[in-house]
Amino acid sequence: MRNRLRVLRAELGWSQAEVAQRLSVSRQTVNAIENGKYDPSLPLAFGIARLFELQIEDVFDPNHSETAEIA
Amino acid sequence: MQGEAMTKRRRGWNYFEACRANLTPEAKRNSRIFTVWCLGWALSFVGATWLLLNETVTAAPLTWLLALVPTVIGLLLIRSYVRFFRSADELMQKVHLEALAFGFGAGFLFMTGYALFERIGAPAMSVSDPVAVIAFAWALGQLLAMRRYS
Repeated sequence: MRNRLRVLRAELGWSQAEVAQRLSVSRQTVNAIENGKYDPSLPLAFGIARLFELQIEDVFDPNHSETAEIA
Repeated sequence: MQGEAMTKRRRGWNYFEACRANLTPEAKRNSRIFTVWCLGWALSFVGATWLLLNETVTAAPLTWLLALVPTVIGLLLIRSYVRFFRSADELMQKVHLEALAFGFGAGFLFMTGYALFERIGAPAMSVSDPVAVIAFAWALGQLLAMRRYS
């Protein structure tokens, strides 16, 4: 699933490690999400949206998911 | 951000760096505890095997106790692994789940596959032989899964 995590993080000048610490996950998880290699769980996706004070759809693009492509 | 990407490109993929980045502080601590139990189990297993094979200890109740030591340490090892697994973040849990599936599959295939080779003359397999296959496949599974999500 495509997401805007890298852009949102850059806007606030946060490092991957900083975002990871705020979300209580590892830096690798943030990196994998940013690179589209890993889709976060629903609670983590909500956590990310909440961290940037946005709606979940503003961070993650459901139109670019594998499920959408199959459908 | 650009710097991070450039550093990654320059250095290439590093297993140990990926391991460090993959763990939250709590999981890192639990991972260290798990490693200590792994070493403890390996030492107790080798030690008990050596003592029993060389017949250093022969008295019946003591030999049973000696044979039981690696199992007891193994139970504590499993407990420490479960603790580590629960403290890991969701990506690391996924990595470990894939690695466990890989290890289990490899062990299952080895046990069922080798049984057929034994029937056509291959040397008889020891009960502890699949352990090495499972451990190797589990480690390889971790490596592959970590690389996949890095």
